Amino acid sequence: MTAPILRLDDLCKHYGALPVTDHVSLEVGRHEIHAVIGPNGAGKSTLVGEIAGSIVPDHGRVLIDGEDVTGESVAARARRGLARVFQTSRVIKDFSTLDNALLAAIATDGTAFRFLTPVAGETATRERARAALDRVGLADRGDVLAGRLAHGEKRALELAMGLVQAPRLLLLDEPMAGTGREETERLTELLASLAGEVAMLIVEHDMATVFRLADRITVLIGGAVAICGTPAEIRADPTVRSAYLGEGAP
Amino acid sequence: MSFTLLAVQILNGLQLGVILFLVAAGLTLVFGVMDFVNLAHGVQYMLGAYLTAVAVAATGHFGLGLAAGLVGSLALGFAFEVLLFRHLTRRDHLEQVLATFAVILIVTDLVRMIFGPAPLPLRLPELFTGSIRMMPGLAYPIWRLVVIGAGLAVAFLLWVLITRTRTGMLLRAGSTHPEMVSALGVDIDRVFLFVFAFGAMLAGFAGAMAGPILSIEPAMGDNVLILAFVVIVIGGIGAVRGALVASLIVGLVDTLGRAFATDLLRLVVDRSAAAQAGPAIASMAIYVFMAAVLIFKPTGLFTGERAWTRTR
Amino acid sequence: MTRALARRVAALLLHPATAIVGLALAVALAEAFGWNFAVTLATRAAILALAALSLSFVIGQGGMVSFGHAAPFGIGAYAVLIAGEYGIREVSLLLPLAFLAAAAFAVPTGALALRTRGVYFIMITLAFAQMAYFVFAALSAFGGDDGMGLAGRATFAGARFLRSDGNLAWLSVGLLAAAAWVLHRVVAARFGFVLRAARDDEARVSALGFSVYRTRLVAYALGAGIAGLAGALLAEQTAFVSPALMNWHRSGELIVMVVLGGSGRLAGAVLGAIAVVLVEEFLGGVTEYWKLGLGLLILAVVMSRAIDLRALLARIAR
Repeated sequence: MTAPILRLDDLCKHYGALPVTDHVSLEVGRHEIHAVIGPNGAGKSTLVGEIAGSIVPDHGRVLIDGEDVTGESVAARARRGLARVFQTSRVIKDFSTLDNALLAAIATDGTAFRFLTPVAGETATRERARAALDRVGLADRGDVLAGRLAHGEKRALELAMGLVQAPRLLLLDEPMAGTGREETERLTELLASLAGEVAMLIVEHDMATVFRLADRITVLIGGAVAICGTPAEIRADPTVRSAYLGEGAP
Repeated sequence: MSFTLLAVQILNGLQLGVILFLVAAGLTLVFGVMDFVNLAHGVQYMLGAYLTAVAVAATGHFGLGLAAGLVGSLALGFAFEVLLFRHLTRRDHLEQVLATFAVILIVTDLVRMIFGPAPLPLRLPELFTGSIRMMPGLAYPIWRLVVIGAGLAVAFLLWVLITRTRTGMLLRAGSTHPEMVSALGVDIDRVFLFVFAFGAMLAGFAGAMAGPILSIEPAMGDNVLILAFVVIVIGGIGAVRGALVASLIVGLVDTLGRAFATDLLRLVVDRSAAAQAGPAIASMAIYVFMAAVLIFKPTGLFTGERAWTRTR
Repeated sequence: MTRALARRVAALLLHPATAIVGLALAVALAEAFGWNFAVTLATRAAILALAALSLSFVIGQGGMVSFGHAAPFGIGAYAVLIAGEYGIREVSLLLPLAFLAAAAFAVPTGALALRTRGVYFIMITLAFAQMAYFVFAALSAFGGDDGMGLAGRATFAGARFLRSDGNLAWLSVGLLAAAAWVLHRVVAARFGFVLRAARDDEARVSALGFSVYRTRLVAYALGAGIAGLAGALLAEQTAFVSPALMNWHRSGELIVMVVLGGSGRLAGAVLGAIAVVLVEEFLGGVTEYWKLGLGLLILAVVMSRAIDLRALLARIAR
């Protein structure tokens, strides 16, 4: 039996007296798309930080591929195959779009400590970066400064930076935030096309996206897991319906 | 190493600590409230000493001269802020460093031009000259005791100001959580103006207090500035209480280190080696202490955990 | 048409490589005509340009505003003095030694300073540099406060090659050119690529799996090592080493050189350094208060950027 790619084991985090992560345990299987939903202030962003390694939990463990990484840095977890798409787009603004993808491709190769070979000469890495841009539909935007990209394009670039690393788990923090209807659909289709290839943990407000993509959904309320189940189960759950989804839920 | 010598050095250390506190208190608030790097704070200290010395000589009265020195320091603080620093508060640190460094070069040379490189005397009134016998075999200069007393009194006043008044609450919040204060609808630029000028006055006061002990010369602010930085790193940016504790620690460690390192070393190595290494080790002491604080608490001893995310 | 040409000529003239070639030409000319003074000045400019170049790498590429660069510079000089006292006077040994000594200082102090950001980083680098200053001022065996003269200039492969000021000038300009070339390569390679990315967005770069901390520390040490080379050259030139080399004003002046040359351009610092050396030389010849002039110049440059001049003029015009 193989271990799940991500396992959270009784995670807790308090800010002062306020619990923001309250005994959270969940698992993401190797090919699973797992969505985390919940009202504002439910502790979703904190949870993402705890998984990525930028926030240290007070208690509990984070396991990637069966190994305890609770004490590891952001970079060390990334090297284990965790790729992150931030809630607010984080691309290197002064780099071209291609250079952003190239940076991610270099990260997969392992080392930054190469001092004399020009980056411009690393053809194989560059090709991988180009392929990743191609896949997210940014093939012809490679020379544009990343800071000048439209919002949706930045999200796509971040996704390309994740993909070029051939990650084992994509950690997506509200990937659809701030994108228009059309872009949301495009990004959703893109993520759907990756299903089975890479496991995902996706925090998202857009319910259409969540129900389209997710194999399982965890509902977080007040920092604690309210319920976890298949989309059908979540849709049917009366408490979730009234407390969170509201009447117009799909 | 007699007991009286130790007592004298402890008093000297306290006196240095108190001076450092007066300089660091304003500086740490300026850093905290505006995230502004002010290298020219040592210049305010130096100018305070000069203004006081000149005013005392002109009026022939120490109290009047000191008051004039304080008012002058406050006015200079306002002037610097309005003319230069307010234009720099939202620029990056590199430009703040450059501009305030330029101010040091300019003011130091202007002072040298006007007063010459020779130290300026600051005459104390009869009352404060001479020493007081604190116990058999221990006479200590009155003025240094006055400095310690005045510094601690200012510390107490600051504590009252910060913990008991509305302005103080704002400052405390502003120096640790600046975004919160602007969210409260307070004009942070005005807060900065007053904090800056007040800090300049405190530094000027420190200069006036130190004037009769040290020599008043154009570069007198340089060392104090860097020691104040060490104090702020140890105490934590924006923390006045941290500045007080760290000032006293730095003052004591530095003074006692310089006084006793060679003697202590002699217990383990021979005389000449101790004489060689003692002063070098003593001059490292406060920086080693700073390094230790950085290892265990990179944001200083007295700041709460800031919302820094781990980056390594 | 002519304007485009003028702009191209200006760009060429203000190119760092042109500046280095210019220094070499100055040395050649000065040697040919026997202007010893100009040889000394060009050597000094090349040495300070080397130090400023290394700081430009740390500040401009690494995004680390170090206010303590005088320390590795001075340590390089002391490495020459101390090794000389122990009989090592061979420049091909002294230069690597100076590099290593300066880098060895930078690793532990940088490791601590890099745990912090922003204002803290500036203050801590300054404090550690001041520590180095006081430690050397307390070392009475090596002159203490007053400093100490070198026993003589170093040999090169056993020969007394550096006795001549001209040869020292060539060594200085040559090292400057070599360092500029190497750093240029490093900036274009992976290391520089990742370093710049981390300057722009540290969290993004960590999330990709790079250790930003280690990358920065290596860059910090590399910059310090090159500053150590510059210090060693200055020790050779003046045949005298004192703690004054590490005075924190020198750290400030090095930053001035970097910013005047444009902190985003790696080798811009070479131009900045030449400009500052010339200003110092010129003002120093006119008045003893030359720092006043330098200060006003810096202030004018910074404030003209801080205050939006065009907006100001528009308001006055209205």
